[in-house]
Amino acid sequence: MKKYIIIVMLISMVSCIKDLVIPFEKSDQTTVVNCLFSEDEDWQISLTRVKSFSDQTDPVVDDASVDIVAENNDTIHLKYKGEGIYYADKRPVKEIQYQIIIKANSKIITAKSSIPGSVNISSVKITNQRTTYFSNPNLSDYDVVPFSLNISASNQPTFVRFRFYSFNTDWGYKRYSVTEQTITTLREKGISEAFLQELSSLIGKSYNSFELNGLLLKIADKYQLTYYVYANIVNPEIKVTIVNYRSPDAFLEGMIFANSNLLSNVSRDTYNVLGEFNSSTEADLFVDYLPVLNKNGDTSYKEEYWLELVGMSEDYYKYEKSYIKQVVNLSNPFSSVVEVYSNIQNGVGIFAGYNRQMVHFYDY
Amino acid sequence: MRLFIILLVASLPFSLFAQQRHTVSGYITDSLTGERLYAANLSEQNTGIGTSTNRFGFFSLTFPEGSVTLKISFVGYEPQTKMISIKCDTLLAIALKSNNTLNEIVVKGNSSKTFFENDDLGHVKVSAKTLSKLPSLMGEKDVMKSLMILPGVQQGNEGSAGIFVRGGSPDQNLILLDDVPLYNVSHLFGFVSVFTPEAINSLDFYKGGFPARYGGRLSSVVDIRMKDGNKYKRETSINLGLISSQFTTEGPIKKGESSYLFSIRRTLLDLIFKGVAGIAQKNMDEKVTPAYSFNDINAKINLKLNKNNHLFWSFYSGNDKLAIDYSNHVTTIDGEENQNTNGSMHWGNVMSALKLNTQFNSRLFLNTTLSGSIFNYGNLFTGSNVVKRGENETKNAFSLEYQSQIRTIGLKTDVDIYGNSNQPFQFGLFMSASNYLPGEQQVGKNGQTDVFSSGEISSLDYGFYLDKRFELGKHFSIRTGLRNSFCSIRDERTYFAIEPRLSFTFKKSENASFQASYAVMTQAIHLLSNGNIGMPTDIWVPSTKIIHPETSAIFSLGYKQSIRPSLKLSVEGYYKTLDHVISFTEGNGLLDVDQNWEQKISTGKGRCWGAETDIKYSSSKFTSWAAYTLAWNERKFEEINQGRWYPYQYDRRHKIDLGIIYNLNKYWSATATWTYQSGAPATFSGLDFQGFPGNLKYRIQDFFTGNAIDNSRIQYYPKVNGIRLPAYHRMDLSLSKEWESYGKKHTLSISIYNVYSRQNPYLVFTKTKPDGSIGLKQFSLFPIIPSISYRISF
Repeated sequence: MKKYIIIVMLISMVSCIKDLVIPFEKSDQTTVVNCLFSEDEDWQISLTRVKSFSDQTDPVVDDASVDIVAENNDTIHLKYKGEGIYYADKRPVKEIQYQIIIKANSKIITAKSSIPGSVNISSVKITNQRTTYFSNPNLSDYDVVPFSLNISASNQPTFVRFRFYSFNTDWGYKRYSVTEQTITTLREKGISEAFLQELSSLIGKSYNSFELNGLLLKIADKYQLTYYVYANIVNPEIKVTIVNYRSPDAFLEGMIFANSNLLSNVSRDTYNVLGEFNSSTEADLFVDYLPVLNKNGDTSYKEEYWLELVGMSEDYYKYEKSYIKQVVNLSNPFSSVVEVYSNIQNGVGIFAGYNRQMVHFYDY
Repeated sequence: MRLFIILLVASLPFSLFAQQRHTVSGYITDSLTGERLYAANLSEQNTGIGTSTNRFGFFSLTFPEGSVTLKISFVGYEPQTKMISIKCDTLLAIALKSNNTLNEIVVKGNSSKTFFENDDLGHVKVSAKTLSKLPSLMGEKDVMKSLMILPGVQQGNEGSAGIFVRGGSPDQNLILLDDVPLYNVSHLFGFVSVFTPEAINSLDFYKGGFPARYGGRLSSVVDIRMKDGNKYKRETSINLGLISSQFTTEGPIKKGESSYLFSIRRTLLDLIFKGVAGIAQKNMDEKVTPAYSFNDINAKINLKLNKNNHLFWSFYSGNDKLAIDYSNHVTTIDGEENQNTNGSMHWGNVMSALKLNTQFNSRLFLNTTLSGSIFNYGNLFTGSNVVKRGENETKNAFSLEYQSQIRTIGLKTDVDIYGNSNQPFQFGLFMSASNYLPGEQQVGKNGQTDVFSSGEISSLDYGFYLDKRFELGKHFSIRTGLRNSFCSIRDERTYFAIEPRLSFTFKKSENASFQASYAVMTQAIHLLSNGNIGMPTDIWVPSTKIIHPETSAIFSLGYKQSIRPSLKLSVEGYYKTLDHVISFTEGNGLLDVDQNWEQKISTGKGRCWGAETDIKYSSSKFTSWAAYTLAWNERKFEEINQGRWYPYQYDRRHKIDLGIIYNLNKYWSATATWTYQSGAPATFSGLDFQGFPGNLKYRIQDFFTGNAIDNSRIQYYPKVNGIRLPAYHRMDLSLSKEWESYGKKHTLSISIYNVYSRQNPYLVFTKTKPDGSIGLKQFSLFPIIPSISYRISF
C-alpha cells in the first residue's frame, strides 16, 4: 500500500506539464498586405489573409482590385498572377509618395509610403584586425572586426539597416545542381527509388554548396542513407558549374553589432543593426570574424567582406524593429508579447519603400 | 478642497481650554506580557462616549467632572469595567487579561468580533491573539497569505510574490514593519512571507478609506507591528518545520518597564537539497547541486526612559538565496578537463528604526521615528574551465554580477492631539532620502571587468498630513484627511501632490452601517516587472524627469451588518483609476536596464471596479467565512493593443474563498480552506501571417522543446490578453494539536497544500504535436505538498 501511495505522489509531483484545451481562434478574415518596394524591382504585392494555427496554408486573396496612386495622381493598376500575388510592369520612383488602394471583401484597405532618398556611405575603415565584442543583451563575447564609416543622407530623419555578408571566392563562384544524369547514375549504383524521386525535385535549380548540402542531408536523413553513402556515392554525382558573377545566394550572412545612440542591434538579435540619424555622421560597427577563423590561414582564396545598407521609410523601420523583437521574444516564455507594427489601414502587413546598396569593403 | 480645510481647521483643539472637564488618559496593556494593545476600545457606559487606543496603546478621553463607568474591551481579552470619580486629569494603567481562546471572546463579548476585525469598510485589523489562530499553510501561519482570503485581495500566478489588491499591482501595496517600508516581503517565491508570526504583534490592512498618515503607494496598506517583548517574564519558543525553523526569545530588561525580543528563522530546504544531491551523485563526475535558503532576524528593544518617554529600537534583516553549482570532470586520452559553474541570486531587506514616544500631557502624544533601510537584489554567476594536456594547463574564467539596490533614510513625526470630541486630531511631518541603483552589471573575463550601469538616482520625499474624525450626532461621522507630498528627483524636477481623504459613515443601528470613502494616493516609486511573473527579482525604479509618479483615486461604498453577534455580513463596491502606471515597452526586459532604461518604459492608465461581499460566522466550536469578489481590471498604453483598453494580466472576474476552523476538542483543531479565481488573461490568438520572406535569417529555438521556431511567420494578436486560461483553485487542509506538559506549550501542525493536486496554469506555450498540428501546453508549479511542523514554547 505504501508503495502505491508513494508512486501516486511522485506521479502527481512530476506531471506538471499537460495539454491545455483552448480552441484556436478562427481566421478573422483580416487581409495581410506584403509589399516592400524599391527602384530595383517592378511593383509586386502579396495579398493573403490571417491564418489560424489549425489551417495548413495561408488563404490567398484572389479577387481584389489593387491600385497604386502616386502623389501626382498617376494610377497603376496591378494584375493578379496567382498565389495572392498582384503585379505591374512598372517600377516605383524614389521620393514619390504612393498610396495603395485595395478593394477586397467589401473593404477598402489603404496604406502610404515612399522610397527614401539614397544614403551615402564613405570612408569605410577597418580599425583593427580582430577584437572581442561583448553583447550586453546576450551576455556573450563575439570575435569581431571593428570598422568605422561615414553615412549621410538628404532625407531627415533617415532610417537605416546594416547587414554583413562574406563572399568566399573558392566556392562562391561555383554553382551546384542535380541533373537527370545524377539520377540515372545513382539509380545504377543501387540508391533507393524513394530517395531518387525526391531528389528529382531539385533538377533544374542551382545552389551554393551550403544550400545544396542542407537540402541533400535532409533528404538523406529522411530515407535513412548513411553518411558514407551520402558523402562517397551521392555527392560526387552533383554537377558543379563555374560562373563569372557573384550570385546573390552565395553571400553568407554574418553577425554584425553596434551599440551607440545612432546604431544598435535590436534586443538579442545579432544579424541586423538598425538606426536613425539626422545628418552626416560617423558610425562604429563590428562584424563577424568567423569566416577568417574558418579560413585558418589558407591563402588560396579570399573572404570578401560586404556591407548591405538599406535606407528605409519610417514605416519599414518600425516594422523591422518590432518584427525582430517579436521573433527574439518568441523563444522566451517569460517575456511579454510584441505586436508587429503595421501601416495598413483595415488590414495588417506592410507597404513601405526602401533603397539598397552593397559595399565591398575588405578582403581577407 | 475648501471643505477639507474648513473641517480640518475646525478640528483644531480649541476645546483644550474648556472648563469643568477633565481628561482620563493612559495605556492599555496585556496583563501577562505588558505588550501595549493597539485599537483596544474604551467607552463610557451611560453616555456612549468612547475612543480606542492609538498604535502605542495610548488613549485619552475627556469627561465633565463627576463619576464615569468605563468599559474596556479588546478582541481576545476579558472585558473590564471601571468606575472612576473624576475631579482632575487622571492617569490610568489598564491591564487586560487574555482569554484562553479567540472563540470564547467572540461569544462572550458584545462587539461581535470575528476572525478578522473590520470596524471600517476596507480596513481589517489582526491582533497577535488572532494571528495565533490563523490557518497554517505548509506548517506556517503566514499573515500575508492569510490576507488572500479577504475579498478584493488576490494572488497573482502561483509562485508569484506579493498580493494584488483591487486591481493594483504588488508594488502598489505599502507594507510597513514598525513604520518602515519593506520592498521584498516574500520568501520561497511567494510561498512564505518575511514576517515571522512569533515576532508580530498586530497587522492593519487597508484596501480603501486610507487614513492620511499613510501614503506613497496606490492600492493598499499593510501596517505590521513587531512585538515589544514580554515585560514580566522570559519566554522562548522553538518551531521545527520542513519549510522553516525558528527560535524566538523575549523577556524583561527591567521588569514591568523595559523589554527585548529576538527572533531568528531559517529554512532547511538547502540542507535537504544538498544532502539529496550529494547522495544521488556520489560517484559521478558531473554534479549539479541546487540550493535555496532564506532567513529572517527580528530584534526589538523597548526602553522606558521615564514616565513620559519611551524608546523603541526595531531591527529586521531578511534574505533569500537561490544557488546552483555545476561541476564536471572529463578525462581524455591526452589529458583532463575540469569545469565549474556557480550561479546564485540573492535578495533581501535590512531595516532599523528608532522610535521615541513622548506623552507631553494627557492630551498630546508624539511619536518620532528615525529609520534606515536597504533593499538589495543581486546575482552572481562564475565559471572556470581548466584544461590540462600533459604539462600544459589552460584556464578560462568568467563572472557576471548584477546588482540593484535602494537605500533610504527617513525621519517622521506623528502627533495625536485629543480634544473634547475624544477623537484625536492627527498630524505629521515626514521626510526620506533615497538612493536608487536600478541596475548595474559587471562582466569579468580572465581578470578583465566591464561595467554596465544605469547609474544611481537620488530622491528626496517630504510633506505633511492632517487627519481627523468627526462624530456628527449619534448616527453620522466623517473622517477627513489631507496629505501633501513633494518628491524631488536628482535636483532635476520636483513633483507636488495633494491627496485628499474623505469617508462618511452612517450608523443605521448598533449593528448596521453604511460607509462611503474617497482617497487620492500618489506613488513615486515603480516596480518594473518582466512579463507575467512577479519575481523578487523585479526592479524598483524611482520617478525621474521623464517618468512621473503614479497616482490613483479610489471611491468605495459599502454596507455592513451584524445579523447576530456571531454572524457578520459586509458588501462593498469600488471604482479606482490609475495614472502614470509604467511598463516595459514591448520586447524590453530586465536585462535591458542600462543608461537608457527610461527610454524603454512606457506609461499608461488603469481602471478597476468591482463588488465584494463576505460573511463570517463564529461560535465556540468553529469559525467560518465565505467571501466573493466580482472585479474588472484594465490598462491602457499608447503602444499596446493599438492604444485601446485591455484586460490587465491580473484581471480575474470572480474570486471565491471558503474556510472553516473547527475545534474538535480541547487539543485538536482542523482547518479547511478553498480558493477559486477565474482564469488569468493571456495573449495568445493562434493566428499568424506571412512575414516578409527572408526578412530574418537566423534560427530561434523554443524555450522548452528546443525545436526551431518558424521566424518567417508573424504572430497576430487582435486583442491583448484576449483569452482566458483555466481557473485557479485549490484546497488546503491542516490539523493541529496544542497541549501543555511540564509547563511547556506544544503545538503540532500537519498540513496539506493543494489537497487534490490541482494543476493550476503557470505558463502556457505552444508545441508542435507528432501529427504536425500545433497545440497548447501548460506548465504548473505546485502539486499536492504535505508538511509537518512542531512548536514548543516555555
